[in-house]
Amino acid sequence: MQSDLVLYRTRKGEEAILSHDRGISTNQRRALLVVNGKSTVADLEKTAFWVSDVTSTLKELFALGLIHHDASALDTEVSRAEGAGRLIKAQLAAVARELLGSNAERIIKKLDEAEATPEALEQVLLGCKKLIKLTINEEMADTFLQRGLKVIGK
Amino acid sequence: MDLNVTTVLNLAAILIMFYCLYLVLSLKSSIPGGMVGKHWNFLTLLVVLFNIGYLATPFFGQLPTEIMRLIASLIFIFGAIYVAVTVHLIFNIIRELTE
Repeated sequence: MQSDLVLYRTRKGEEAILSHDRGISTNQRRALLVVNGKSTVADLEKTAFWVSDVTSTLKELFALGLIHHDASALDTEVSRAEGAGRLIKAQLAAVARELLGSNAERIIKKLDEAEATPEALEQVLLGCKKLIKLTINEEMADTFLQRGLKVIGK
Repeated sequence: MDLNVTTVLNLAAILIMFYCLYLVLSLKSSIPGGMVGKHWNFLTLLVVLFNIGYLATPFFGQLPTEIMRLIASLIFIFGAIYVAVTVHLIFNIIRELTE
């Protein structure tokens, strides 16, 4: 690993920190925490004295996909995730159209306005189920929720 | 004086009831079905009946007493039904939203 490389945490790396991922060792976690998108490998070797064998540990994190040296790769990762979110929303909109026909517009609008994370979409689906049950079609509400949850993998 | 107050109150009631009719009809397109949609058609029918009944109130003086009492009783019974349906609907909506 070149000493002048600036390292960034990937989305997976951020999630590993937030979720207290036990798949990585304490030393790897310490190394992951010092990666900040500003310091070079050489800087980290000098300053992160509490991480044993900084270079090897950074290589391990790199191999695990938790850090990256190319910020544009992170952008690609983010845009790929956004693309997947849009695809899921399109699939949910198709389910709504199939079940509700011309009455699906309000549901599709709510789906469009939601964040593309599975948790946010699950909440929106629960809200949509209630809206459908109250104002569109009582029988279709549960079917929509079940099919929607299947689409988002819940 | 009494007649004037009665007339003004009647007119106000008729205007308010027309406004209610406008509201139920304009909201109808937003509620094609579901729990609220089912009740909405019935509520619309009741509001139409109330409009007819309220429009008849200025002519109460010219009607036979028996007919006048019958109309008043009908307004009362449909009013009670309207309140019961509305409260039941609100109860169901709150239960659904808090599930």
